Amino acid sequence: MARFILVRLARAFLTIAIVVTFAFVVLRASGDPALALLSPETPAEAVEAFRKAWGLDAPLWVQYVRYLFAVVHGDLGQSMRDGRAAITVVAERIPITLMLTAPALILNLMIGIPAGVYAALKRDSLADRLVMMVAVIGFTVPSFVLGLLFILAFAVELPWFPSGGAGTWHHVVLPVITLGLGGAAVLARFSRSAMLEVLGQPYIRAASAKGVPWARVVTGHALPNAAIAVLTIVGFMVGNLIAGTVLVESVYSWPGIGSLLVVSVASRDLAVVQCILLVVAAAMITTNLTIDLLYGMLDPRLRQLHSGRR
Amino acid sequence: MTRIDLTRRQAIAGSLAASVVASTGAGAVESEPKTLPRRRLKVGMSGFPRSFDPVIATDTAIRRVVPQLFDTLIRVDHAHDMTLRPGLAERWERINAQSLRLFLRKEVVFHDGAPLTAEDVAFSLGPDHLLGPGRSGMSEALQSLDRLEKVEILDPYTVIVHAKRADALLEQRLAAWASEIVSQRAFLAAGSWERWTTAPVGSGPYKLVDHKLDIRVSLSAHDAYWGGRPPFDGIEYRIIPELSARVNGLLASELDIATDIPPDQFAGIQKRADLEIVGGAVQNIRSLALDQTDPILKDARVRRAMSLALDRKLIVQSLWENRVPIPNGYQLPSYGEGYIHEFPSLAYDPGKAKELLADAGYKGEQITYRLLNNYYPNQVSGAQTMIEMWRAVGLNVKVQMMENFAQVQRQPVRAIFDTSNTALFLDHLGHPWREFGPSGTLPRSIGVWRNEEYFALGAKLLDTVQSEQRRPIIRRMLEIINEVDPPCVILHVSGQFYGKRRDVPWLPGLTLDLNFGPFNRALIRT
Repeated sequence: MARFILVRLARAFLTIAIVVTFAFVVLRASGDPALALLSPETPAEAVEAFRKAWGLDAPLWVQYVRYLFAVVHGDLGQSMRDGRAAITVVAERIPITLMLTAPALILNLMIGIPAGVYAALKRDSLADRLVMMVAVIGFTVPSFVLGLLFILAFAVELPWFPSGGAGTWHHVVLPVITLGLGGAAVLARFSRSAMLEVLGQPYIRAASAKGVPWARVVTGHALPNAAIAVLTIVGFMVGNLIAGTVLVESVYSWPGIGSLLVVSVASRDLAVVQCILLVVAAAMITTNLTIDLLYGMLDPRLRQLHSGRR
Repeated sequence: MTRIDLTRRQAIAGSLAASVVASTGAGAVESEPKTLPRRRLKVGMSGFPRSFDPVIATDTAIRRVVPQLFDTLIRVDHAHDMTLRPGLAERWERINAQSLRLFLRKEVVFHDGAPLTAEDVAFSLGPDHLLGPGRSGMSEALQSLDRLEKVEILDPYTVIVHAKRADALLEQRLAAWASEIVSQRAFLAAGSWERWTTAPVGSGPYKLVDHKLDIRVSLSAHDAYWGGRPPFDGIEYRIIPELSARVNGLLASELDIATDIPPDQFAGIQKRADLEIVGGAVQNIRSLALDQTDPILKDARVRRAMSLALDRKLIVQSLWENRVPIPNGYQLPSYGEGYIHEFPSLAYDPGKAKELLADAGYKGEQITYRLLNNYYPNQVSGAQTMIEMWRAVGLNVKVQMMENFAQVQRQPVRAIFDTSNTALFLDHLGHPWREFGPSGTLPRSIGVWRNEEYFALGAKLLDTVQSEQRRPIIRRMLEIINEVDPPCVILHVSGQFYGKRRDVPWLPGLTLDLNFGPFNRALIRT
């Protein structure tokens, strides 16, 4: 198991290095950051002074070496728009995004899994079709469309909630529901498929034939086996907690990581973009590692595979 | 030192105008009882200002905040056709062609309660401030103040501003962007530019309370403001980049004003009885830059044909609801004596365009249009319209979508692209010269156009102060831009529109600046 974790950590380090290098090159190759950040009317002298002040006048490889050296020493750079340390700018947005994504994830789990399991157990019934119809709508309607509809209905026409911004629990309701419904739809579809696949397995038939009560078959045999597939999706959702809300944050003017990423990419605030990618990559990798470990707990065969025993 | 007739005339006229305005009070502001409760204004705006100091940059987001925090010595009166009025200087007089004596108001106090004196003026217009951090040049102030030599202090409330050479536009420069006066004491106390730019101290009608990157900027009223009690208790700028979110905020009554409203949103806002659209043309011209070094565009006849093929009236009517004017040449009526009123309007003549293309031997070679996705309002729909108009005269223009200006300006350009240009001060030298002069955006920053005759004329204009001598020079410069060797296709004057609650006593001015102080034209008795 220790070797397994070490190998995964080495891979994680490599993945982060690739992500950071890719972002470094792409952000600079897609246009001079000074021209992207400054107004098009900025005089040439001011642009030159800006490049010099931020080290953008050095060759790309020199900038890259400087960046790597700084990162190794724990310095992720400064925001060119704000002047503060990029990590400070990013860190203050993470809790704001989590205020949306954490309740939304709970909503996903609370609605999506029971709905999917119920639909699978009532396969081809009216309830199944109804659940799947709602799930397909939730899955296919983009979150920004859903968000705009909610704003028009519950902020403009019926002034129950604010149309955007952050500050009170009122501000949280519409974006959480927007995120929650989309995620629940995805989870419902996956849960249903996973359950149907498991319910068709011979060991389920065997358990039923042995006279095990159906409720026990479902909870004791079907659900744990279906959980592996569902866990993969939940893993992605957890990984997306930090940066998976770009569209919803934009629609609701929610000042989280997603909004920061959009503005920072558009204005080529290099240090901030790189810092966000670093944090997101780390979150994704940590989640995946945790999910891998959980697979082992759920499925003894995988545990034995990791420990080298057959 | 040259003494000229104009100097004396200007001195007398300027002194008289200043005295008259000063004697009638600082602009005849509607008086408001001090007990009347004021509202806190909520403004939804599209971008966060990356500096709060007036010289570092002049981005639109910055110019929406800076006029609340600082004042200039001489101010532009938006309620009266952009005429110059006393600001922190209660009056001024020309000493000669390159010097101006200014008499400061004695009642002005900064946000920290300290009085404004000549020391602050000398510092604000001196190199330690104008040249940016460490005198690095990371500043946009020299676009308008490059002719300034020094500020001489005569006494705590009198200064003489000296230009390097004779300058007819010295008063205009002192009213332009980046000429705002800051508190020297507070600047020095901040200890660094980083700390100063995030918490500056000025004498404007509002003071900075706090700000959070990409979220908000909060101001509170500076009740000791020399120009009268500010009409709002405070201002909260909420940063809302998404247009739909700004409009929804306005419709849901969470915002009093929303910026950057394009014409296609007007109807949705105006159907609400409590909301209205305000705004219109600003001192900015939208144009298409043309790369003179492109093998096809190097022929001035092709560039001229591109202009003649455009039916601007139709464009303005269909995309701008006729709310923005089409200028006659690269100039604005607000230039005053520098405006060539009789200069011909921009022609729409497809027949002539075809003739010019035939003369140039143009055979349908592709012209590339580097296009941004609505960086400017109506940019993409405007481009689609123009491409069809060009096609009608035989011009083959193909769009290449770009993400940002760095990509648009990537060398070699060999293309046309959208641009806009603000009149920093109201004269040819404060506007097209900034774009097309030897240090301007097109010749220097991007390197796509040069015209030695234009450069020589501009150099001459800089040193010419008499109006009757300046006008023929300006006329020829306009001819070069318009038809002799066009660096651009002029489209129309830019428009800035805002959605607002009808009960908010505020009107936008004639520039990109927002001004929520007591001099706002909604509060001025005319």
